[in-house]
Amino acid sequence: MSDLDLLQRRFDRERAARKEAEMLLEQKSREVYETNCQLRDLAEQNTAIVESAAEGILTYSSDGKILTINRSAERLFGVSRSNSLNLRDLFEAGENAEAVLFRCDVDLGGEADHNIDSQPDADSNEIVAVRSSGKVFLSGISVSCTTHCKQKMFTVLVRDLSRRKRMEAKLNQAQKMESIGQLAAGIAHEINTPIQFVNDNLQFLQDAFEDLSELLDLFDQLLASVKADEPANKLVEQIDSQSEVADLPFLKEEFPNAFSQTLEGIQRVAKIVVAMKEFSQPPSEGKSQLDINQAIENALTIAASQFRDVATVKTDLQQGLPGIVCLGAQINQVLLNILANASEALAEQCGDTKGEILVTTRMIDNDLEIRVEDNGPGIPEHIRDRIFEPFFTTKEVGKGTGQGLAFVYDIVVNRHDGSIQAVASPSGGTTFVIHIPVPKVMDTEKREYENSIG
Amino acid sequence: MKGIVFTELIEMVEADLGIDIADRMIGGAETSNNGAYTSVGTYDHAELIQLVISLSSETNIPVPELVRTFGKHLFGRFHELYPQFFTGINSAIDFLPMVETYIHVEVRKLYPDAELPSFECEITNGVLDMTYRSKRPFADLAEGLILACVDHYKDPIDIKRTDIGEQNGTEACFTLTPASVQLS
Repeated sequence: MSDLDLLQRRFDRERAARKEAEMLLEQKSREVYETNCQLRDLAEQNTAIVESAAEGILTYSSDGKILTINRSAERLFGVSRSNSLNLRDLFEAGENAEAVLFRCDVDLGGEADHNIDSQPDADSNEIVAVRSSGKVFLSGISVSCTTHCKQKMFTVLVRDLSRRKRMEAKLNQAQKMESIGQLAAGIAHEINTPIQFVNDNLQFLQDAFEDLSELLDLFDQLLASVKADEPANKLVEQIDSQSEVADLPFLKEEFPNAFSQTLEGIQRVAKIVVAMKEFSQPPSEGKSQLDINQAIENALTIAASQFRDVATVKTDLQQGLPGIVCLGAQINQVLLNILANASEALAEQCGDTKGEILVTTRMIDNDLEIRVEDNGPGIPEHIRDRIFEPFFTTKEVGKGTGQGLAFVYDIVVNRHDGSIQAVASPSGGTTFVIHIPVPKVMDTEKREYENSIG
Repeated sequence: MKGIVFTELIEMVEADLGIDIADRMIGGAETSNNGAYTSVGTYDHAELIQLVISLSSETNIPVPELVRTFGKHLFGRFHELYPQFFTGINSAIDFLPMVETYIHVEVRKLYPDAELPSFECEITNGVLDMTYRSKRPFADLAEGLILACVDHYKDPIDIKRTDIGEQNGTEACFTLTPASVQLS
């Protein structure tokens, strides 16, 4: 084959290759065009989502300069995107706000142009925001951090919590009133029983005294007759007769019982009143010392009517426990809520036999442990992690607010750095295990406790 | 397989052996497009094998040797065409692990559907074990590329190849031992 022929063949191959390359170029151009259309649609869709979101959404740089702001955020803060804005003008200054708004859990250094450095907060933070008018409001925010074109960029979702907080306050108040109502009804029932038998005994004593009063009159008359040397046979007969009516042997036997029962009834009422007085100490800002065993006894006294028909309550309270420094009123309410929860669980499966509630206290290392165990139906595994969530309830609509255990969690964990767990009881029910750390200031008392058991 | 491999093969044969041999290689291979390849196209890898077999029969050079030689040529071309991949790298031991972690990442940005081989690298006490795995039997091509890379950086490195798996050229482990490690 001549060189010319070889070159011609090579030329033909090159021409065919060029045509194929042109075809591929056209194809790629079309793909680029279609991809651009898709990207434009996606961008418009994303813009529509962001702009129509109920939450305020802002993006900002590390120095706080706001890069984008959606309509909800404009409304929320009363600002316009046309103005140059800085995030620090929209929130009240403070270390907490700064730490939350500029949180970044992962170092920079990703090779990709767009790098997710941190996941948005699972739990939103609450910080005080400021409208352009200067009016402040409580906001719930979730912050995430990304790296875009090697620049750190933050995104914050902002919600106005003012209305929710008002609703929560109302709900808390309603729940408090409901608790007070239930407690009042229970206490009325508790007081009513001893008052009834005090009343019965006093009625008996009053009736008996009327009979004895007549007898005493006859004795007075007899005494006067004897002193005057007058005949008294008739009076003696009357005394005999009246003695039979009054049934003196019976009265002699029953009077001590009537008095002791009356005193017992009055003591029971007094105990309830003392428990109520200790229990309902006004909530204060500061913490004070509390005898946890006494608090448990008080709670059991107050809530007795709630579980009398459904459970037998046993206690195993470690003696000589150190007092704990705590918010007494709130801890009292915690105990009441846990006991109420146990009795309600037992009431669900209450048949002919009563359930059992066992309350124990122990010192475990530096923690005071309170266990409330019931042999009720137990908490299903799949909801055990959710029972402390606010508004979570398994009760029918209108029967439970889902605030009881959420309150318990808040008080134990957030206010006392303690812990609370709901674990399955060996009996099939539930055991609530509360740990409250005993602060260092209680060391002296703790040593006394250790000496007492050593 | 990307068209650049085909166009580079033909160009190498044309340059080293002449357009006559290149033409006969293409004619003997009986490929679907009569050798009209464009570098941005994608073609069946079997055609490359057909071309190399055809070249082997024209030159009486064994196929593995031809493929290794082509691998060496390809490395030089990659260095000319894509210098950005070589910036700041001073040794084969540093460069080769980047084939998987950097170069292939960049290739996939341009050609998301590219079926690339994998190069699993592990450095132990200065010795690099590089394991090649592919759906295609081009361990010889990989060997040529690695040899050219070591030559490029002028590293005194001992290279040992161990065929693994089905021993059909789809899997091989290359152990690169620098002379400094051997001495110590």
